[in-house]
Amino acid sequence: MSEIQIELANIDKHYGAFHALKNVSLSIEKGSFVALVGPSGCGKSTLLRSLAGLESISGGTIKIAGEVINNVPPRKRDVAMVFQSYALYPHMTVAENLTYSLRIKGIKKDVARRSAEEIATTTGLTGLLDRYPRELSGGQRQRVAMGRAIIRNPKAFLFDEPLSNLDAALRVHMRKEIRALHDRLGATSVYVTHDQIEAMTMADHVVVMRDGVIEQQGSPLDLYDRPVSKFVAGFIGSPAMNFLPGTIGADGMSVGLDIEGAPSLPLGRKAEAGQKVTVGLRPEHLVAADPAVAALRLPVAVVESTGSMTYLTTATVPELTVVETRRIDAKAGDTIGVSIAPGHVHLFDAVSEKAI
Amino acid sequence: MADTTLTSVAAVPHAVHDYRRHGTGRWFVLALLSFLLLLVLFPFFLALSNSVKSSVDYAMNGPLSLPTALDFSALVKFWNLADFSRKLLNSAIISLAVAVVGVTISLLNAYAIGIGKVRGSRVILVVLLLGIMVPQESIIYPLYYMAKATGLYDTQLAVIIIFAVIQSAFGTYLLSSVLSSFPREIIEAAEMDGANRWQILWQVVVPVLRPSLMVVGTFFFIWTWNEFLIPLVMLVSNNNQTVSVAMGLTRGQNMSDPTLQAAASLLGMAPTLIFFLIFQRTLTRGVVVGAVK
Amino acid sequence: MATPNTASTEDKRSYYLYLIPGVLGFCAIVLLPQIANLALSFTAWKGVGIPRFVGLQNYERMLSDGQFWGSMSHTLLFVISMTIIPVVFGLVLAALLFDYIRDQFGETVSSLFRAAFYLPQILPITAAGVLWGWIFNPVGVINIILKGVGLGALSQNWLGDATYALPAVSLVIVWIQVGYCLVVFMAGLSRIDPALYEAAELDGAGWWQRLVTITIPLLAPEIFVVVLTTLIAALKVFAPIFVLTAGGPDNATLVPSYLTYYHFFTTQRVGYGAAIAVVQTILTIGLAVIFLRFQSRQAGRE
Ligand SMILES: Nc1ncnc2c1ncn2[C@@H]1O[C@H](COP(=O)(O)OP(=O)(O)OP(=O)(O)O)[C@@H](O)[C@H]1O
Ligand SMILES: [Mg+2]
Repeated sequence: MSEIQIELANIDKHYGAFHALKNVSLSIEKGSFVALVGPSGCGKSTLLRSLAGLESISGGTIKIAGEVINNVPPRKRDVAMVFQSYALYPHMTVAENLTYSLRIKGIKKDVARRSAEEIATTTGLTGLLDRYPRELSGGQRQRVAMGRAIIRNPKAFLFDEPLSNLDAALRVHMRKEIRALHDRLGATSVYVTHDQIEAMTMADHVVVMRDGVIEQQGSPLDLYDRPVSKFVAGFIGSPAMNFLPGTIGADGMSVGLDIEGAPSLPLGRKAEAGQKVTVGLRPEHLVAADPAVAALRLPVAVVESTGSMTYLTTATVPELTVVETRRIDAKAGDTIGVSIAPGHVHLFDAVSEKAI
Repeated sequence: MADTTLTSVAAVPHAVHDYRRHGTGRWFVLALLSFLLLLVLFPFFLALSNSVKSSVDYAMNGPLSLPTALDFSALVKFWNLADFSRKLLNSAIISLAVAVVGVTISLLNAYAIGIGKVRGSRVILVVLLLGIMVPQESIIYPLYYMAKATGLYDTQLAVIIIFAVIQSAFGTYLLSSVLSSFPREIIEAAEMDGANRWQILWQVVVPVLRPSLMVVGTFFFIWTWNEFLIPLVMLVSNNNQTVSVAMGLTRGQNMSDPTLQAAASLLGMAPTLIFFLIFQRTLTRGVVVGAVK
Repeated sequence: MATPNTASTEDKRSYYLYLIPGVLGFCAIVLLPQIANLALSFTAWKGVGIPRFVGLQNYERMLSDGQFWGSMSHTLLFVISMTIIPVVFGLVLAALLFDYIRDQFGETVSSLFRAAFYLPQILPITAAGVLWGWIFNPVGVINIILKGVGLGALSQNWLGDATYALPAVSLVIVWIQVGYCLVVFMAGLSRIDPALYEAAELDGAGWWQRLVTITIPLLAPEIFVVVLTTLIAALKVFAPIFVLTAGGPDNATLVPSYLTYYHFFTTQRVGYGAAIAVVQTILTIGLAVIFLRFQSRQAGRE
């Protein structure tokens, strides 16, 4: 176990009567890349900004590198932040933007300039140092924002949706670049995003938030394989998990789907007989099969193919999405057989929505 | 081919419509407005043409004719009579100082209100605005008395302090609304970069805000230049007076010579006219925000 | 256990430091004198020695002071030249320039007109006053023109005759004020969606109908602002009177500001002058409060 770099204990945050963070506790290991995900308004930015010191907290303790920094203003916390809007200083050149923090520390102009040149090399900004932010493309501005954080060699990097203003292709590219940079610098990073793919692909540790509380945290695959609630299950994975109402069979070893023509599915484990549940089936775990032998026979409503993937949407209530990597020769109105990969049936209590 | 037909067909109704609406009417409207314009500008023309006329020329041909020959004697005479270079210098010093000090105070206030969002800022703004809307007569006597008591009476410093404060009340109002829409994240980025309040103000806010500061400063300059009551009361000695006060007092002096009077008014207006020509855009656009004045 | 984070709140307090110069200055230069003036209005004082408290005597005297009521009625008349005429002129001119001249002759011509009409507004009023004083002179330009066109019988001592002094001063004020209204209205027009005009035109509305049915209703906020600010300005007219007529002849152009000045610095009845200034201030604040209410309602709507 490596050492803890950031420790949040029982953080509370109120905006007037609104309770934005509710008893949030989180430990971040040195050198790890942690993603905060969750739907809009769940408190991700608030948590990150509290960590930065830009927002005051109503209760709890924040420690960075072992020191309680509750009462330390942002400029003395030695953390760097990359903003969604980049927040570059419009009146400064790229070099000046990069070195502003150094200049404040009193570092000589030529020394700062040399650091800026170094950073420009690592972030791919060579040759742009004397331009103004308005003369840069979105992606280049993003790099300046990154460079400005890196140049300080801070105790932690904080990112608030840094890629959401970029186009899809660039976003995918920058994802890798940021992660590579993180590894190269051996940095500790906290990364806020509402895009679960970003979180899954970039982070070592993913924290799912909902309404100001941490719903679940763990490694990306952990969250994918063992969501603790219907909320996490639906949030992680794309396309989203299918949810169907169901009832545990009398033997407790199978679940009956409340969908027309569906048999009961074997569970491979024991559950409370007769319990009302929500059954979660990931689209990629549904396999199109010969209707004669398949577990389910379902009418098809929509067929979409991207070439590499085929997405089938069924004409059932609720509808199901099936993802296939093979080409499927089906069209709307057909009936297809769907079998379910064993061991991939998720069960959630119908009322509490907790995983069973 | 098909394309051209299409466009010409499309253009026809428009052309017909244009013709019906505009016809000769447009020239009539333009002529009417131009006549009004001439009426408005006529006094300027009079001032200009008569101030470069000799008295003899005026006596013979009256005020309406153009000068037969350029004669600057009236201008020179008034310039010397009024010690005009001194007045210009006084006005320039006072207005410039008020612009600089006034903008600085406005900036500090607006930083606390627009960015610091300090509590009670609405009340502060309302009190400031009411303070500058009330007539200056209601503060002039106490100010006069205070100036005498502190030995600042008949000094330009007194006028500078008074106007810097009065104008800054207005500047605070303007700049606060500009600053309240200043991108919050830029301030936060500077905070994260290690800058303190003071550094953020001067290294981040001021450079970004420079255009607005210039506009506000321009207004302060010209308003102060044109102010009359307070300089009239505060600056009694000839050596301290501003152009505006000197103009206000010419009436009382013996100005029976019409060309001299024309020269006086021309010289009184000239600096502002020049300023207006340079800053025309800023000034006409800025009046809207200046509506409270 | 829980140590709330006070860093930001502490910092927040430090913003108050930035208000110190402005607020101190304002208190010393505006607030304190204002209070002192109010206090003086309850005293009899010659400017030296100790003011003597006289209660409401100054205000009682005002009630029966012909000069005061005369100055107030002139203020009411100035509403015509400060507010009504400039607003009407400004509206028509703005609509013409914006909706007609700009279409027909381009942006440059229309902004040239705007700048020229605005010019009188930007001048030192005293300089303009010297100019107009000369124009209105008994042997000045106006009389010379009248003589020239054979109307010599109409020539007057414009500023020296109690009948004509007030209209003459009003004319100067209109000359100064039209530009202000014009510029504010033109700025207001530029935020109106041009599509509205096009739609109205297609509906067959003429220029005048567009002015009445579209321009004026949509310019309501600007008209309100201009009316209130010029009303406040009408209460404060001083420099043109000082330069053109000094309140005369025979008090025909006396205004409250000039009366105050006169009592402060000529008759040395400081207490009485202060009382008149208080009345002016109260009236101004009344108008200003309406104005601010309106402004904040506008801001709330955006
Ligand atoms: N200054 C504030 N005053 C009051 N409520 C606020 C304030 N800032 C944020 N909130 C509320 O706190 C909640 C959490 O906000 P936060 O910005 O942390 O959301 P988020 O998870 O970052 O969402 P997004 O993905 O949209 O950025 C929201 O409901 C928001 O309305
Ligand atoms: Mg956010």
